[in-house]
Amino acid sequence: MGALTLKVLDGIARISLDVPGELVNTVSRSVRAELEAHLDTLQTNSAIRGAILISGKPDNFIVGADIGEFVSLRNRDEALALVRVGQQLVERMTTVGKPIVAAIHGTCLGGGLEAALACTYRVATESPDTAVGLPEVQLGIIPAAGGCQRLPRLIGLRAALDVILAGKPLKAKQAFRRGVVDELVHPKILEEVALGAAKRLADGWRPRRARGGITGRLIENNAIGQRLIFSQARKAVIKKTGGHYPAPLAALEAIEHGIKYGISAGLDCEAAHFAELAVGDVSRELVQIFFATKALKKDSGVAGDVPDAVVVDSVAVVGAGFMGSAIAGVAVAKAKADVRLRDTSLDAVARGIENARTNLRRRLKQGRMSKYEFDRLQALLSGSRSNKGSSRPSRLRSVPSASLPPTRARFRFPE
Amino acid sequence: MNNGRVAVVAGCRTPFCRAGTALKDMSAVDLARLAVVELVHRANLDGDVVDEMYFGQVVASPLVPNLAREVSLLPQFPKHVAAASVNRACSSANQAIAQGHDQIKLGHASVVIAGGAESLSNIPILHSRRFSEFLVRMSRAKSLGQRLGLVASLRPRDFVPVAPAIAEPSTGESMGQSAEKMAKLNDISRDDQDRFALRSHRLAHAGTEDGRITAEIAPILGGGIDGVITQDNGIRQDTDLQRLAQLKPVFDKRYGSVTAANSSPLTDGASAVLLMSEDAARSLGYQPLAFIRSYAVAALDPADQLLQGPAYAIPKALDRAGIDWSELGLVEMHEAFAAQVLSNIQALESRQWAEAKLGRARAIGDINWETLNVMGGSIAIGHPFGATGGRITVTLANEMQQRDMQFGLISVCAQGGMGFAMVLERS
Repeated sequence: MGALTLKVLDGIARISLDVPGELVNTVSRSVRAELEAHLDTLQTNSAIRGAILISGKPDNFIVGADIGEFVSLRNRDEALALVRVGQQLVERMTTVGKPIVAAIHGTCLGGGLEAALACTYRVATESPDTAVGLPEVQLGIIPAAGGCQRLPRLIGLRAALDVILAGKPLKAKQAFRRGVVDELVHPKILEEVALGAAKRLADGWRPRRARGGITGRLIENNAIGQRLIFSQARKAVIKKTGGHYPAPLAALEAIEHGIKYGISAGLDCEAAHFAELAVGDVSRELVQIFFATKALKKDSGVAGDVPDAVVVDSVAVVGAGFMGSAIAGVAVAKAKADVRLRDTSLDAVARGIENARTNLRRRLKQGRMSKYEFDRLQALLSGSRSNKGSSRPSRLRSVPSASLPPTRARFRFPE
Repeated sequence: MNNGRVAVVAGCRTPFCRAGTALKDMSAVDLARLAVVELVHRANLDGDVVDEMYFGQVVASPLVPNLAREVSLLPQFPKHVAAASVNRACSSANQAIAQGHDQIKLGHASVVIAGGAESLSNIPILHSRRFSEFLVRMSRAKSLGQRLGLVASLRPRDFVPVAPAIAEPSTGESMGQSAEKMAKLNDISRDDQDRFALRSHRLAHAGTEDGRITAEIAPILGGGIDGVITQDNGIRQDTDLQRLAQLKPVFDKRYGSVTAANSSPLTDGASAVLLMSEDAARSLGYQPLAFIRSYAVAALDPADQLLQGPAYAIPKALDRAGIDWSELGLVEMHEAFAAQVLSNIQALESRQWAEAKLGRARAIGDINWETLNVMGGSIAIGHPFGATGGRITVTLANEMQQRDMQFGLISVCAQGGMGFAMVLERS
C-alpha cells in the first residue's frame, strides 16, 4: 500500500500523505518516489489545474525526513547523494508549472516544512497541535532541502535566522504572524480553503505578501544591512554555543551564500555543509541523545510489568518544602489533580504554593500552556496548616486515609 | 417541587480588606474562586455533585459581566455547572443565596454554591460620553479627512474619565448623604453612632482573637499577594470614643454626624455558601449548620429614608417564617452606616412606626444587644458590596450552632431603597 493518494476534485489534485503503519508521516525513499510520480501526473495531466498537499494523519503533516535513512549514512558522498535527491524533489515542486497549496494541520517540521515552503501557498490550522519549524540544527545538521534559501526569501532574513538558528518550532499563531503560513483556519475547513486557494491561484490570483515593514525592508534589502545582520547573528551563535556546535554557523553560511549568489549556489552550499555535518561526530552524538530522550519518554519508570494507570484526581501533600511543592506543581500541570498542600505554618504553605505556581508560570511563558489553562490550573493549588494547631477541624482532615477512595493519593514529606 | 428544607451546609470567605490595600491586585473573580476552592476543601465536597452557582456582584467589570460562570469553570467542577451573577445591590449575595434556595425548592437543583464577590479596588473607570462617541465614530470613519475632523473635535475635558459613584441613579443622592439625612430625621446622635461603631470594632476584634471569625476565612496564600493574609484588615482594636469623636463628618461638613469611622469602608472580598436540599445533605453525609426558614425583600421610595428597607423586610420575613421577633436567638444586621442600623432599630422598636408604616398595632420587637451582631459587623469587618450577604449568612449559621439557637435573622439594606431579610432555623 502506498503512502500517497491522488484524487482529482473539480480540477484540483488532492495529494494526501498517510504513511501506512506509522503514527507520523516522514519522508523516506519510497515516499519521495511516489511524490515524484504524482508531480509527473500533475504536470502532464491537462485536466489538473493545481494541487493541494495534505496529511491523512490526525495530528501531523510531515514531521521531517526519515531519520533512519539519515542515521544509516556511511560517508560524505552518501550524504551528498541523499541531500541532492531531496533538493531535486523539492525543486521539482516549484517547476511543475501549476500551483500547489500546502494544507497543514499538526506538526510540520524539517523536510515537511521545506516541502511546504516550496508550495505556492500555505494554509494552516489554528489548532494547538499545529507547529512548524526547521529543527535540523538541534540534530547537528542544517535544513538542506532549500529551507535555508526559501524561508529568508519568504519571511525576511532576520525572522528566518530566528527560526533556523534556534531550531525551535513555531506555534500556528506565531507562524502566521511571521508569514511562514499565509492563512490560519479552523481544522474543519482546512481542506476546503486549501482547495479554494489552489483554484484561485490556478485562475491567476497572486497573493500579496508584505513582510518586515518599511524599516525591515530598508535594512534587509541592501548589502550593508545584510552584512550587519549576519555578523550579529554569528556573534550571537558563537556566544551561545561557545563555538562547539558547527551546525548553526553552517546554516548561517548557507543562507548568506544563497543571498549573495542566488538560490542555486545557496543549494550547493546547503548540500555541501549537510554532507559534512551529517556524518560528523557532533551530529551523531546529538542523534543519539535524541533517540535516548525519546526512549526515556516512553519509559514507565517501573521495572517489570507496568501496572494499569490510575487516575489521580486529588492529592494531599504533607510538607510544602522543596519536594512537596515540586510534586504539587507536577501533579497540577500533568495530572490536573486537585492538590492540597499542608505544612506547620501557612507561610510555609504559601511558599510551597508559590513554588508550584512558578512551575506552571514557566509553562505559560514557554507557550506550553494557555492563559486560560494557567488560570484554571493554578486554582488547583491550595493548602492549609497541618491538623495540629488548626482552629476548626475540617471534614477533609477527619477522613482517615484508609477510607479515602482509591483515586486520591497522599504524599507525606516530614520536614 | 421539593418539600424538604434547604440546608446551609458550610461556608467561607476571603479576608475582607479595605479597597486599595492587601487585595488590590486580585480581581473579584480571583477572590470568589479562592473562597470557593477553600469551601470545596473544607467541606470535602465532590465538585461533580454541584448543580448550579449564583454569585452577587454590584460593580461588575464590563470584561467579566458574569462572574459566577468564571467561578463555576474552576477545575474542581465539571464544565456543565451553569451559573448566573445577580445584582440586588448590597444584598446581592443574599439574593444569590435566595435564588439557590428557590432552585432547590423547585426541584431544579440539589446542591448549589451561592455567594458574592466585590473588588472595589478594581472598579471600571469609564471614558466620558463624548470620548466614547468619538471612538465609535472613528471606527466608522471612512477617510483620513473624516478622521482628522473627528480628532480636531476633541476637547481636553473629553479625556476626563468617569468613575461609577455610590449614589442613587434616581435621586443622585449618595449613600452617605442618605445616612446623614436619616441621622437627622431620626435624631440619631453622633455619640450613639460612634458608640455603635466602637462596639462593632470591639466585637469583631474579640471574634478574631478567639478564632470564631478567622475560622470562616480562607487564607490568601500568595498568588500576586505578598505573604499570607488570614484576617480582615479594617478591624481596629486600638480605637476609642475620644478618637472617633475627633473625626470630621464627611457628607455634611458643618452639621453632619456621619464620619468615615461610623460608616462601612470600601472593601475587597468574596464569600461562598454551600446550599443543599435536606435530602441531598443527608445522602451525601453532611450535617447542615442551619436551614433557610424564610426570606423577604422590601422596597421603598429612594427619595424617602433610603436605607430603612430592613425595617420593612424583617416583619415580612418573620410572617413568612410564622415566628415572632421574640423567638429570635441571634440577629445579624448589615452595618452600612451606624446611623442606618440605629434608624432601622428605632423603627423596629417603635409602636408608632409599626402603626403608621405597616398598619400594625404592636412594634416589631425590641433589640437584645446581647444577641445583635455578636461578632461585630460591616463597619469594622468591611463591606465588599456583593459579598457581605454571604459573610453574614455564614456567621449567623455558625453562631446559631455554637450557641444552640433555634432561630436567627439576617437583614441587609440595599441601594434603591431595598431591604432583604432571611430567617434561618436549626432542626
